[in-house]
Amino acid sequence: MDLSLYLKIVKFNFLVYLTYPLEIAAYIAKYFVRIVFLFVFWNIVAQGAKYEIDTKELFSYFLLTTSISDILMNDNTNLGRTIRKAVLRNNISQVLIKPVRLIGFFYAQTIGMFSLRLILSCISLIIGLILNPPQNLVSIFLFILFIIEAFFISFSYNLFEGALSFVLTEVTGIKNTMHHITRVLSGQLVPLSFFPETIKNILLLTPIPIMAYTPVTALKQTEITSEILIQLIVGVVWSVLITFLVLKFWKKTLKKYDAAGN
Amino acid sequence: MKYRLNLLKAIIKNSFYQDTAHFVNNWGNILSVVAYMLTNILFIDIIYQNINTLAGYQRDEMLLFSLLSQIWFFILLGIFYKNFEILIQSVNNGQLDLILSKPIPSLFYTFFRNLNIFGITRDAMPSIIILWLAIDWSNIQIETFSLFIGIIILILGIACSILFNFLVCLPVFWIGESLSIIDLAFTIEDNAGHVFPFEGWNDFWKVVFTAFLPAAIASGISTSVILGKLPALEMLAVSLIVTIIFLILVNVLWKLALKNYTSASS
Repeated sequence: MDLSLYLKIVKFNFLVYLTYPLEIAAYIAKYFVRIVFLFVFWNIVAQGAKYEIDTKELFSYFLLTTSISDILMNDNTNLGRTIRKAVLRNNISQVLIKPVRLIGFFYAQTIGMFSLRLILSCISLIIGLILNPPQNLVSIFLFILFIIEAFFISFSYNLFEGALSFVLTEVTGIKNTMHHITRVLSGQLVPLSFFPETIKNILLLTPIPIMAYTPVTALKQTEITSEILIQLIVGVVWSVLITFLVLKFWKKTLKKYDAAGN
Repeated sequence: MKYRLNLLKAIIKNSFYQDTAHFVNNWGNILSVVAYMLTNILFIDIIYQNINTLAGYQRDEMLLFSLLSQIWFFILLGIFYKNFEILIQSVNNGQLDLILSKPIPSLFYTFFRNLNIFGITRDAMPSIIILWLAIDWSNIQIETFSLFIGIIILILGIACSILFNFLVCLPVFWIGESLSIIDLAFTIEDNAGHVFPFEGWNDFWKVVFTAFLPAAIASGISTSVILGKLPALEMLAVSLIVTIIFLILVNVLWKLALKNYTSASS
């Protein structure tokens, strides 16, 4: 695989995005406005809380979950969106006839188009890590392991959305359904620690919290307990299983893809 | 007037065909709003398990606030926001020529070029019904007069919001693109006016989100008025004045924007 080709795709799409400087400023402003409002909201929540809520810790939690979700593209499913739009506008035929790997092409295109978002996410990830630093080397190690698992699950999640559009063409409704459920159950909207204990424990056996909640909470772990080990194993099983199944589904639906025109 | 009504009829028919073209997606959209509403209620319930009040609001008052937010959301996002995005794209790629060269009222057409009545009803109804059922109405005390004024304020607030969103797309006539600007404005509006109650803001931000960036009128102020937390007539007067000012601004700035429109296409 010629990596430089994909880097060129990233660069090209990023340069297209840079055409309008005021738009970039508005985009950056939007990113930070979103964070400011999140902070204001949880401050108001903390004021009416039944017990003392550490707003600094909560703020860093949301900075970390938001940035991880943005970098791994599991909140806005940017990769899935790129594929969906290509299918809907029938641009995908133009890619299929090119000597590039389809998934690689779309991944590079998405990274290029959303580079600014990724850069901003990295900044907020760093701020989040400064506010809520890893406890020791074990927590760093666990964080990295969970992020790897989260990457595969998020990637499959995006690819599933794209593959679904080969079959149904317009899948906005289904994608939104998945998005709403994932947003709450992955801890992006409210930390899972706010959930009743039984629901939280059931959720931790599913792949959804691995996309945001689990990597962030791993930063607080000082040792590898049996609980963490179970979460790690659950994550490995889900990420392998989901990636395998979704890739299979992708290949199957791509074979059935039928384009007209262009 | 008759001509405008005929135009509206044709637009509604066309929007219906566009919206129902993908059968599975219709059900997907319904599923999506049901999922959103259920997760939203779950979110509010989880929050209220950990807090006593949110900016002085109890759970059911908060759900009422969410109900009005949903009405605002479906009208703005379902109809007008989409049309404003199309306006931005058509200025960007020069297709606005095709509208300006036709004998149709351009401002009217820009606002109503897609009028997806079917789609909005389909998506809004499940959401509103679920919220309605989730509210324990016995926990909320509402007077008829406050409710009546609150509904008028809601309508004025939605109008204000539509006009404001239109204004923020107009920079496209000068700089060639404004999708991120309208996106930024919507993010501010959504978060400032529709995530937590009006009472959550201090006096300075209350003024900002009422008069300059009218995010709080549609749900925040109207809910407060319905619940008797704010004086009804004063807030009605404020909402009316803000709406009139934004209406004048839209008419003036639209003419100015058209004068500035240059196209090198079509």
